[in-house]
Amino acid sequence: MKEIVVAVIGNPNVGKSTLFNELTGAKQYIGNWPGVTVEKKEGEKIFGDYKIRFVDLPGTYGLGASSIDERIARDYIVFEKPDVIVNIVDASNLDRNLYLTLELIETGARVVIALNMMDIAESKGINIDVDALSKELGVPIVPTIATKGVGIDELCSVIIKVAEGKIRYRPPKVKYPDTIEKAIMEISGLLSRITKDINTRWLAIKLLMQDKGIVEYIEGIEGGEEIVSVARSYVEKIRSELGEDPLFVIAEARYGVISEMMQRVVSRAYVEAVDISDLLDRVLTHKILGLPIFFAILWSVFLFTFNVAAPIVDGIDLLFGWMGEIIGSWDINPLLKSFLVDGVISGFGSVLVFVPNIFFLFLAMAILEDVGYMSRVAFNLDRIMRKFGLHGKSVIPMVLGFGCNIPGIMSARTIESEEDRLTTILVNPLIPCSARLPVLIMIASIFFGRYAPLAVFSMYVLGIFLALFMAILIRKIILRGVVSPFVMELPPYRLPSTKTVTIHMWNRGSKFLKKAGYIIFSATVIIWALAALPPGVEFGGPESYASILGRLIEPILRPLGYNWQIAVALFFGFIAKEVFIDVLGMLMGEDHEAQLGAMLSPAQAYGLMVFVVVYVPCLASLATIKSETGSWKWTIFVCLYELILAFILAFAFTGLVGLII
Amino acid sequence: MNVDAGYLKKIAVVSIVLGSTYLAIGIMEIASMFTQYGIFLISADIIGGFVSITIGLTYLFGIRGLLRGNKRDLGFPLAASILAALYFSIYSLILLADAAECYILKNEDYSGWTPMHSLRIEILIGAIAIIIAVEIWRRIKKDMFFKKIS
Amino acid sequence: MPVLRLDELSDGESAEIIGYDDETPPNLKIRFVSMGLTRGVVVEMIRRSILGDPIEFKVRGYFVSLRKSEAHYIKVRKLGGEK
Repeated sequence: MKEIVVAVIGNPNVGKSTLFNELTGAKQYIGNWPGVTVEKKEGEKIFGDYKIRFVDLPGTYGLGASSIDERIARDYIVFEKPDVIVNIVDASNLDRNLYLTLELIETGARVVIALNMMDIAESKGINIDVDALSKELGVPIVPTIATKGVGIDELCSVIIKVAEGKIRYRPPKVKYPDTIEKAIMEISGLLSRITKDINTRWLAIKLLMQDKGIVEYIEGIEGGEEIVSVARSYVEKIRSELGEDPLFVIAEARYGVISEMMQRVVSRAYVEAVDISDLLDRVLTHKILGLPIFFAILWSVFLFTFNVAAPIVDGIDLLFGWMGEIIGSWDINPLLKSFLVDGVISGFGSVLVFVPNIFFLFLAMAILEDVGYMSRVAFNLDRIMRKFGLHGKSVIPMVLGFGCNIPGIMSARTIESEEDRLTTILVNPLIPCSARLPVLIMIASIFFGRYAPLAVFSMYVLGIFLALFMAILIRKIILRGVVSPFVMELPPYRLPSTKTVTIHMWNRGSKFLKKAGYIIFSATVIIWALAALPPGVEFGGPESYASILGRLIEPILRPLGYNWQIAVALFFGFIAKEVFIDVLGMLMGEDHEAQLGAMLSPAQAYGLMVFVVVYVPCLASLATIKSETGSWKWTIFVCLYELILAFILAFAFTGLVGLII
Repeated sequence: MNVDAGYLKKIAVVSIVLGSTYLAIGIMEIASMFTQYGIFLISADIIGGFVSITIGLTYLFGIRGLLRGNKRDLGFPLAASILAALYFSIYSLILLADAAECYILKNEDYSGWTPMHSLRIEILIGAIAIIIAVEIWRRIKKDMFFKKIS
Repeated sequence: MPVLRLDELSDGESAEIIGYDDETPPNLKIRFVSMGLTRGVVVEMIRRSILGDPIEFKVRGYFVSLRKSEAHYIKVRKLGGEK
């Protein structure tokens, strides 16, 4: 079977994921581009005797270097050289989309255009002469409607023909003003002496546009520095001769070509008198109604995720309880029985109990994103978010974090700017997730009686405050100064496509399950083992490995007032926060609440609550941070800063509350 | 033209009716938290109450513009109706979920439950709102005009 | 017609882009250009966000939002009156 590699590229919001899903089916491999938080999606399709490997590139408006996403897309095309490039273009927005197309053609790559959203263009009265456009651009064009699966097979067959060289085309050279063309000729001539792989005309143009990434690349090649300075002097020359930066002259020339093409190829039969998206935006970004409506939508997501999924969750609970009973009645080795019931079944149970909620949550998020509402959320809240060094789109990850930090961290991927995305991810674990709630409630009810709800609520306030504070800190000290452009398109609202939304939900949900699932399951088994071994000991008693572990950790925590049992519980709470209560129960027995009450003072208890909220992200969140950021550095950073913060704050609050009470 | 001043006036009237209804529902739902009255179909639900008030206000905010003949203000009843439809769906799904808990899972927390317990007025009124939303949307989509191509 | 900055337009006003501020950061310039905010293009101010920032514009047939600080780098000349 012959194999070809095809890159899929296009502006954001052109239906790229939908088309990618159509091309590859639900079987996709999702990872990260090395070292960054940008998601890399790959998939395969068997077509005829070919295996086509599709690589999804980040949505981008051009091949410049204004953001990491752009650079990744550009570098992949220019340096990795896929066999074919599929450029997805929004038929109802041709003007702006073709800018990227022209850039792609200029790199010399073999481009096939998927002219998507033909149905929307038609409903807007836009009529495109596809053959004429194809001739103008010099590349094959396949009209598609990704949401309905139209044109997919034709696209694949054209891709194959292009890969086999069966389609010949002469891309039109965009002619720039003479001064520029002369510069290009000389520079590309010089370049061809030092590089053979890459289209030198394109490189020359990039040097004239002073593209940082390309400049660095050329300087890195032997003999490149001189060429770069030649280019620089041309830039000066052009500035004085034409009165303008070559960047603008080139861009304007491109747009000039585009408008002329459009005039010849596109006609508009009618125009809408009323634009529904504009209509809705008046309300959804309304000064007074905008935020209440946002909360209303958020609340509905909450209800959907918890109340509607409840029967499924309870059903799973019942199932596992029943399985536990059945095995409990078998006549087998007690250790084995304990392993099966308290270890394996309990382990599976703790994972599966997440599943319905997570899938429902991802479904709701996928719908909101597909409909186009998410960008309005960012539009509404960007100003506030920015005061804390975050992005408008950071709102959703923060809000999701209240349910579970993992979807919160995962949803940060929608933030286009790498620095904002990273900051959002790094502070997310400070938002108290729902797993911490039972722990907080337990401690608060033992010590604070009537004021328990207030104590718990104060933890939430603390969490939010810390998240925002750390965001400012991270921005000021570590990710300093880099501000990616906000410039964000507000796509038209549209009805969600069942297919896209389901695939989206499925991908995210299974990703979560795989990461978190293994970890939580293994953790439960390990906890069981530590409590049940060495064989014959009292479960969770002073001779079990668990208690030995606890006594090792105890010294560090004693200044805060915690004993070895709390130490072990906290240690396992690292694995999954809600486990804290179970472990305490295992180690202290039925009356663990009373024991706890006797052991700590209210001030220390408050400090414990703070510690639990802040100390480390649960193991599954850490795994998610690792997979989303693609780096150990940041993962360890989160662990460390949270641990240190936890100690400091626990001390501080223990002291503070001790003074008040 | 489909969307003329007469049509806008009709929608304005609908907005006044639905708007005040939702507003009233919302206020009553919040009030129910403090009194112990379980009024028929009105749940005691602070957040749900705020949501219904929001929907009501969204309808009401559009009235002035619609009466003046401003086509763009159709967004208000449209958005309000979409929200109402959203909550129609959510509350209906919750009703089904509760039914599943009671009848399928035989969950003891639900031993005395009947469908009436989870039936909320927003489900009934929401059904009307859906019809309104669809109707406005269809009208707008047909409202195009032809532009001469030179 | 007077020259102003893009963030100074009022709701519904249209203007033609005549250039960028000299201090415009390079990555912003590239972004503007690849999104079609180039010289000679007509931009229409649609609305401001709830807190006044970002601002939504219509350009080349699509809707884009920019932060006030970003829009400030773009020099424009007002066209006729309101819509």
